[in-house]
Amino acid sequence: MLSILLKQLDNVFTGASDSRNTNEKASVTRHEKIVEHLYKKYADDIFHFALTLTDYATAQDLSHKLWLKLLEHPEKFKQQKNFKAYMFSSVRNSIFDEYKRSNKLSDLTTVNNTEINNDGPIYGEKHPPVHASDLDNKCIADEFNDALTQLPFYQREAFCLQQEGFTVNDISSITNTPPETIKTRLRYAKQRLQHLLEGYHVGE
Amino acid sequence: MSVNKQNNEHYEDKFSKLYKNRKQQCKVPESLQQNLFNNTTAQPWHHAIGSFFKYSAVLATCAVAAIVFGIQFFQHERSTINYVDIEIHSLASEATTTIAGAHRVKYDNAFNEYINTLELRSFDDQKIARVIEDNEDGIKLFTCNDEVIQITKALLKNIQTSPTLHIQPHIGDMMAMNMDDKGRILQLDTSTDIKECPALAD
Repeated sequence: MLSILLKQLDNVFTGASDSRNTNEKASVTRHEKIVEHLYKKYADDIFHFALTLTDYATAQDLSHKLWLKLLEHPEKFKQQKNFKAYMFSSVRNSIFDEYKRSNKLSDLTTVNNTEINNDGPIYGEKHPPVHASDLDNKCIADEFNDALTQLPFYQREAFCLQQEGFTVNDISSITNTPPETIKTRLRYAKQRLQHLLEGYHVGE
Repeated sequence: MSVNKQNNEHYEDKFSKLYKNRKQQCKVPESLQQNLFNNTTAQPWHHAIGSFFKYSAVLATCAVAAIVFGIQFFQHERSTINYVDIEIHSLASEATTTIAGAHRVKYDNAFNEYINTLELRSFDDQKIARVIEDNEDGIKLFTCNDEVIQITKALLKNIQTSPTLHIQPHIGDMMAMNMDDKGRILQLDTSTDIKECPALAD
C-alpha cells in the first residue's frame, strides 16, 4: 500500500508518474494543432459567412465562440463527416439563436415569406437586411457589397453558401430547407444581383 | 437560349470573382486567433479546479494513510511494549544486558547436563508464547500472560544441542515453553494451540 502511495506521490510531484497526464497533454496539444490547422483553413470562410448574415461584432463573437467550443469539446465534432458543412450549420444556428434572443427572428420570417409569396424578385425595392449596415462600414464599401446587402436574408444566405462551394443538397441540409426552395432562393438572388450589378465590372 | 446561357455563365463567373474579392477584404482579425489559442493554452478554469481537487485528493489520501500507519505502528508498539513482567533466561556464566525490573533465571552447567541426560521429563508449568524479536541478545517471546521472556543466544545454543529445542525459532512462531518448578525451561517446542492463547492470535 505504502509503495503504491509513494509511487502516486512520486507521479504527482515529479511529474514523471503522470504518464496519463503526459498522454492527455500530448493529446490536447495534438488536438490544438488540428484545430489550428482547421482554423487557418476555414476561419475566414465562417467569419465571412457570419458577417454576411449579421453585424460585425456578432459575427466576431459567434465565430469565436464556435472555435472555442471546438477546442474545449472536440468529441462533439469528431463524428461529423463534413466538417465545413457542420461548422457553417453551427454558426447559422448561433445566428438564429442570437436573433431569437434579440426578438428579431420575425424580421427574417417576414423577409422569407415575402420571398416565397412573390413570383420573382422585387427589383428596385430595397430589403434592408438585418444588421447589414455594418457590412459596408467595417470591411468593404463597393457596389457588390451594397447589392449583396440588399438581398433578402434567406437569398443572401443561399447565395453565400453556394459561393462557398456547397451544392444545393448541402445547402438544403445546412439550412434544413427543401432543395427546391433553395433553388428558388438562388435563382432570385442571382437575378436580383444581376439587376443591381448591371454595368458594374469586376475590378472597377 | 445560348445567349441566355452565356449571359448566366458570365454572371456566375462575375459573382464568383466579386465574392472572392469581398472575402479577401473581410478576414478574421489576427487578435481573435491569438486570443483563441492563447486562452486555451492557459489552463481553463475548470481544468485548474479539476487538478486542484486531484492533488488535494492525493494529499488527503496520504494524510489518511499516514494516520492509519501511525495507529497501526502505535498499536504494534503497545503490543510488544505493554508487558507486566520480563524474565531473562541465561547461562550463569554469561553477562546479560541490564533491563530495569527484569527477573533473571540462571542456568548452570549442571542443569544443562541434567536436562540433556534426562530421557523422561515432567513439567510443572507451560507457557504459550510468540517469538517477537530475534537479535544479538537472543530471542524474545511474548506470553499469554503479557510477560516478555528473553532467552540469551548462549543459552539457546546450549539447549539447541539437546533434544529440548526441536526447531530454530523465527519471529512470529508460536512456541510452547515447558518449565520446571523453578521456572527454568526444560523444553521449547512449536505450538499451534492458539485457542489457549487468543491474545496472541494474528
